[in-house]
Amino acid sequence: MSRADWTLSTRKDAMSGERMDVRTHKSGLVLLHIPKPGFTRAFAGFAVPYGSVHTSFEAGSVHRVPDGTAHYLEHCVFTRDEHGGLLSAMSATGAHANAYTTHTHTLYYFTATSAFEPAFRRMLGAVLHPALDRERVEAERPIILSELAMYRDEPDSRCFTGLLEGLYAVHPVRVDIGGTAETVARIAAEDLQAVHSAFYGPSRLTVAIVGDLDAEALLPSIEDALEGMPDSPAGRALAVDEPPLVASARTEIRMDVGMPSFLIGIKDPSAGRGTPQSPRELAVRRRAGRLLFETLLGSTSLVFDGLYAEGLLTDSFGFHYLCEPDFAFLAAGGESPEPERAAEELLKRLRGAFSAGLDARAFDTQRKAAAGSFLRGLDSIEGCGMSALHAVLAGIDLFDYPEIYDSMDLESAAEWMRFVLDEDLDSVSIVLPAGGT
Amino acid sequence: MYDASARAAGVGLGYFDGLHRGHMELVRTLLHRSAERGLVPTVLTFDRHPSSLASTQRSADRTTTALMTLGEKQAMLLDAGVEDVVVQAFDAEFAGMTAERFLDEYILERLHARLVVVGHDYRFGKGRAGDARLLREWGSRKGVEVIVMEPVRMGDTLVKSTTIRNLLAAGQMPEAASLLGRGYTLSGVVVPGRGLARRLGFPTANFRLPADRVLPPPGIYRSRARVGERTYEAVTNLGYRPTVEAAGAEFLAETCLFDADLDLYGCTLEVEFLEKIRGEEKFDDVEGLREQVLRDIDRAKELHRLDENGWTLARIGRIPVQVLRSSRFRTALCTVSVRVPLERASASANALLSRLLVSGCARLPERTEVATELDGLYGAEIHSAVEKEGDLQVLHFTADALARWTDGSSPIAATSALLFEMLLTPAFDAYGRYDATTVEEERQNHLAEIAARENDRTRHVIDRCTERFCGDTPHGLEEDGEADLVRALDPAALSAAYERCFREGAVQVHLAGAWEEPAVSAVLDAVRRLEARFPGGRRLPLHPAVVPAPLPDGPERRTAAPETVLEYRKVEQARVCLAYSGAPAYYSMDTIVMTLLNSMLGGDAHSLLFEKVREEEGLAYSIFSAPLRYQGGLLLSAGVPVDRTEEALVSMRRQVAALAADDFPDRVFESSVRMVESALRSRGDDLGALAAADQGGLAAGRRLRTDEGLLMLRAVTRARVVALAGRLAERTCFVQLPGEDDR
Repeated sequence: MSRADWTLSTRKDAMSGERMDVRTHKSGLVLLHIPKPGFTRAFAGFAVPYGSVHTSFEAGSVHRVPDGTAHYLEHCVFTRDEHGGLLSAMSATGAHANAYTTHTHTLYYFTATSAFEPAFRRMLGAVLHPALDRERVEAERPIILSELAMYRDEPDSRCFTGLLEGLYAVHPVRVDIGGTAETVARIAAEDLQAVHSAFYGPSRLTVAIVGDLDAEALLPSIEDALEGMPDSPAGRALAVDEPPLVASARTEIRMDVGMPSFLIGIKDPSAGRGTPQSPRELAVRRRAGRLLFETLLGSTSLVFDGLYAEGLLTDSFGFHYLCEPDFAFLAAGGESPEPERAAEELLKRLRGAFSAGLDARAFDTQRKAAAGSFLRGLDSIEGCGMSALHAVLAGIDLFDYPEIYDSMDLESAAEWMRFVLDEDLDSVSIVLPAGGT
Repeated sequence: MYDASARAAGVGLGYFDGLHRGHMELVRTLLHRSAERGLVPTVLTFDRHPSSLASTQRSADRTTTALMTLGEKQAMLLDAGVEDVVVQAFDAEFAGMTAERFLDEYILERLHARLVVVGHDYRFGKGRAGDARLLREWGSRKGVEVIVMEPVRMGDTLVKSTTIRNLLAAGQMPEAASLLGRGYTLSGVVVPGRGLARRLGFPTANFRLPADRVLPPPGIYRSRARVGERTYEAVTNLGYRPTVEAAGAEFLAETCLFDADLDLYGCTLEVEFLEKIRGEEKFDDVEGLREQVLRDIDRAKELHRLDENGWTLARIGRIPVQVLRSSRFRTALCTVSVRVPLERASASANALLSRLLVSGCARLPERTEVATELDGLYGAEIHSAVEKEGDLQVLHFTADALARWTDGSSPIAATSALLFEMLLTPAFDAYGRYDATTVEEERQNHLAEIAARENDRTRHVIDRCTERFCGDTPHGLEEDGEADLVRALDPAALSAAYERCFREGAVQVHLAGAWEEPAVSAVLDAVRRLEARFPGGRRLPLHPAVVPAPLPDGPERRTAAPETVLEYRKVEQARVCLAYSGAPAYYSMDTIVMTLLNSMLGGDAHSLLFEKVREEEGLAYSIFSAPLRYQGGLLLSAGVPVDRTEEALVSMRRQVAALAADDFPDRVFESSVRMVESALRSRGDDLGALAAADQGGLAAGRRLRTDEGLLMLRAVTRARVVALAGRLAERTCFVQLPGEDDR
């Protein structure tokens, strides 16, 4: 292989002054580099566009895998490779490694202050060539079951899963990212191998490195790892035909808690329907939603302030607008001594505030805060790397964000988020103390 | 000469020139153990170095030049918390006394010692015949506890006054500072010079150098200069000024202070010598000198800019202002910390107060007004946090914002101003109280947070285990208070808490990031207003090793059987937590050994808990260990299948035993050295972590640069980890199991 196998483009962000070099290999693998002169720590992240919801996919033929497969694969890649324990090997070079799985992607990363190249080589090797034989897959199963048991004891996790079960009737987003004890028991080495060959190929992989690094010096490691990779057909997740309405309006969970909690969710029915949106359109919509809900529900809002003053919300309150190609929703909530009333009032006041008309000045203040927050995020080596990878997974580029914020207007945002007014689209998930009535 | 009071004393013995890191380890051990036993912490030192009367003077210079004057030594010991500093004249008569007589007459009869702490190489009595062995033997006969300190090393170097003197004489200032534990300082009264430097465009403050102190060689030094309450970055010329003075001129320190235009004649200037830039040279003419000095100034400024270590910028009354400058980050931080004793009766009020203070101020009484102002400052944040450090409760108030925006404005300056406004002018009514509604709102929120602690299972089990581990001491109290006490608070109690915290608490301000003038001066002005708002009163004195107090760990506790506590809740997974005592106290240089041990046991992914209990035995997903810094302990925590709880506990204990038995692969130790090294280096790339480490170092009485942390790490051997593991003793085993709620 040679340098001719790579193309290089460079972009500089006017606001932050940060630079990003993007190298694309002929195989399709993308390497992002954000230089950070003067920093000791360096980051590498490996993003795979495969998450828990992609249980049905097409790669030469149609595959269906049990819920929790993406997360199981993350465990197998991350903790074991053909040489033994990846984590031990990473520690031996002084690198701190970790990984996580979301609904839509899996991300492996590490930070190191020295011996970056050996750690990079090792982790890339593990991602591209994991050992997925039956014995190793079996060894991971009790650890994953223990993880699921841990999450089942966590009220926040249970409340969120309960909300998604209420919002979605058939879409796999309704199942916990880790799957269930029953689905995890069914996951076989063959499922993991099928997913790996469909989604972990070079054409699907994005790598980000951040730090005072020589990116050119890393190219041979990448080329070596790509050597002899089979030319598997790239996987394509199959869309799920989710009905527009919610599955159930209320989910109640009883468990041992010191303080009850709740989440309201409002399903955005535009996702996966009508005209498919480009990644950039989706990114704009996502950001517009976040700014709009910051205006409506954030710490400056009358909705939050009123409910807080009445003791219905606490500092634990949070909200998130998630917008993916085939599912989108707003979720908001937290701990509350009166979760039923809090949920009811939150929905009512959110709709009231939306209908009463939105304050353009408040929206602009949020735009300002978001710009500041973007800049501050770039202070962190990991933050930079993660944001750059998330942007690529969303089909845009990290330095598009300032422009996206600039181009956004309140009217469009309000139009897009009008779904919150539809009372048939909400669901509430409530965690109450066990034994209560 | 001696304090003849009958109070029993803990006595530290030594000449202690420089009070370097090794001496301070001894002094703090003395303070800690004396406090535990109710003894008066006393230091017996000498008016001159004992070797000055020795027949073979190995190092003539040290009898005349020292790292500090006797007065400085006394002041520093008293400042550290020593109650009596006894200075014995080291004359021929004293030197001729036998070791045994010295111990009987001076230590036992005059000082009433029940505890003696000495360095590993301490010699005493005629002909230096007394040593640690003799002292121990004498102590066991007389019922006097004897502690002989292990030597302290930085990397391969033993920390010794002689080594420091040699390094200073060679101009190796950072190396000397590493052993000393602080920069080397010289001070003097500013005298009029010839005014040449001022005419050349860089006015200097000059003082004569003390003859009895070790002096660095002539040259140009990057320095800091303290005058009155404020310290300035500076550059200092130390020498004879050969370009403008004739041979035989006086040896002077000439300091050019940056960002200061002060008339300093007659003032005392204290100069800290940070690093040597170049040696003293003779130039052909004044113009040549001027050009070189301008280059020196630029170089010193550049080196100051690159220095990301914390230092004391000012002491405004009783409030120290620390700064840790870095130009690599867009964010800057300003933290005001208030330390008060952690007491059940006051902790709840203080915690609720910390919430109220950042929820508004007289100008912006509504939460939404504050939030809008902060969002307008490009998403700036002001928050409060309550922590505990041993038996202290710490209220942190932090402004976190961009240092500069693209239009040249300074969001951090405006955010810090708002923070001080909140602390100085709370949203009180005409009677100096919060209105009942505001209190009620924040109270409900606080109560909800207290109740929600239990929702985080891991934290809950760790908290309960730690509480049992700490027994009936303030160390086990919840830092954010208790629900019943929070419910009982009224506005008057909160006003009283406000007055008490800021009048009696130890207040410290810490700035981190790209802080520049005029934002720095604005903060100092705000601190002056804060100090003026709470005049009088006696602020809590912080004496690492005593305040905050380490968790008492006397022989009674060490011999008690470990306790097992079971708790039943409606949960799916069992959670176990083991607490061990025997870890080094938070102020000790040995904490680095604990950091390494923790990495090996359960702090990292190659650790024994992770590799054996999780990966090999499949007993847990979440499993880790963590030091209990201020409680001198170590925790092991895991979530395990209910039917394998006992098996998991056995396996977890087995890993601790394996460390103590020296039965673990080399790679575990080696990987941990790399991981701890990486963590130390990484800290420098995160402003929040840098600031937190600096503040933690201040609380422990030993600020450490990253390179110093690395030197300490290098001195840790496998044997030291094994020895520490051998001292760990299980105290508490806390297990949460599924079952009917047993509350």
